[in-house]
Amino acid sequence: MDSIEADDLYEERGAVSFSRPILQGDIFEGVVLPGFGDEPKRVQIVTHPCSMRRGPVSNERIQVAPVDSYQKVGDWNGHGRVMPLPDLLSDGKWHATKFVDLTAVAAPELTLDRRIASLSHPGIHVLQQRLVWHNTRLTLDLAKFRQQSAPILAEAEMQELWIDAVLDEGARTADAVEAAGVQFQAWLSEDDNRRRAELDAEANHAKLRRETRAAALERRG
Amino acid sequence: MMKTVARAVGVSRSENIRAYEPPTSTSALSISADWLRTDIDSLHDGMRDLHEKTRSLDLDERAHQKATASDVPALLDELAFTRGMSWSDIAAAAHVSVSAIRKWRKGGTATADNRERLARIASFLDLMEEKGVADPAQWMEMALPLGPGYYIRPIDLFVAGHAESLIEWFEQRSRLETILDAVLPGWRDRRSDVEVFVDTDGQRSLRMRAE
Repeated sequence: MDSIEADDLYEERGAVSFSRPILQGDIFEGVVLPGFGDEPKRVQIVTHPCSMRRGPVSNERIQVAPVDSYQKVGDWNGHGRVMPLPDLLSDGKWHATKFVDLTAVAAPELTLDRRIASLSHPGIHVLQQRLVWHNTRLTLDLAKFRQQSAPILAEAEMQELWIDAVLDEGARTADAVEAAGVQFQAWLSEDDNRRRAELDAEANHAKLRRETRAAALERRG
Repeated sequence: MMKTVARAVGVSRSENIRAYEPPTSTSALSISADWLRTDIDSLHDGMRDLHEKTRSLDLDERAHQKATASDVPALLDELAFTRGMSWSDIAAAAHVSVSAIRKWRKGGTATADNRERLARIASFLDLMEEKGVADPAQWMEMALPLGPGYYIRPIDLFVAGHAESLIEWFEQRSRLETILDAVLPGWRDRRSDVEVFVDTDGQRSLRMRAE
């Protein structure tokens, strides 16, 4: 299995942009886990982005695993029960997501203001690789996870592109961001889902990103 | 000499298929052709090296001009919004982290070196467009035509520092496999038995590839 440096693992630490849709690998503070007592926990979403919603509707519950303090990891291969999280809090200390304690929480628990970190795409691929290994003992190349996840991660990136273009930074409240996200999803479904169908091929992604930006700027007026 | 050897070991001329007189009328021509071909092969190698150097210099000069004329936000806008590249591909091609790109998007400062790297990506896309690639950012994301089991994209070659090789291939001056053998030794070992397919729910999934 592959290891990854902290700078390449995280896309953002601390304040994560509200524009970014909630995604696999996101880490949240203050989430009460069923069966884990009353004390709020730090958790990471482990559900694959494709499994977080059915069509445009988000699942009622989302799979997460608790994040705890952890030792510094040299060889990531020797720690298959966790997802190492080096320097999560930008204090030089290590944390890790404990796959053995995987559970699910109500989706409304995972609010944007509780999100403290998001993973880069390569970081998400590493998480997927470790999850597959943990659950099946099968190791797959990161390139395969990249290829498999390309449409859904491109869609998430386009949604963020849309929201950033439609809303000024000061206007990006949770409600406004959610509304803009719904607007983007509706745009994606126009023309009998033409754009959703085009998302399936990476060859269309550059064109779709440009169209996303142009359509969002039009809505901005 | 042949005749002498045949006689010395007691083999008759009819029994030895190599027992013929050495050619005399074409030997001078043959030697001349041999030398000329060696010269041409050597010239070809020298010309290819020179061409690669000129391509590299061309890219460097374009990148320098672009970096001089555009600041980091302008370069990011050009790559992401005008061209349509993904943030993660921009980060990989510039050899920086995605979080660094995110900070620059928010107004963080980048070094001159990083600015030059962003400009080099933009210049490469300009160059490929001049050479006839209709949508260079799209082209960078498309898997190279290597057959089932291989998944290498032009952006992967760019990230590995082989922009000139991509031009060489696009100009059809060398076979793709020949180029990859030279710049990515071991690429043939990366053939995967796992394939990506569209599952019944319409989403991409992984499965073992049928031969």
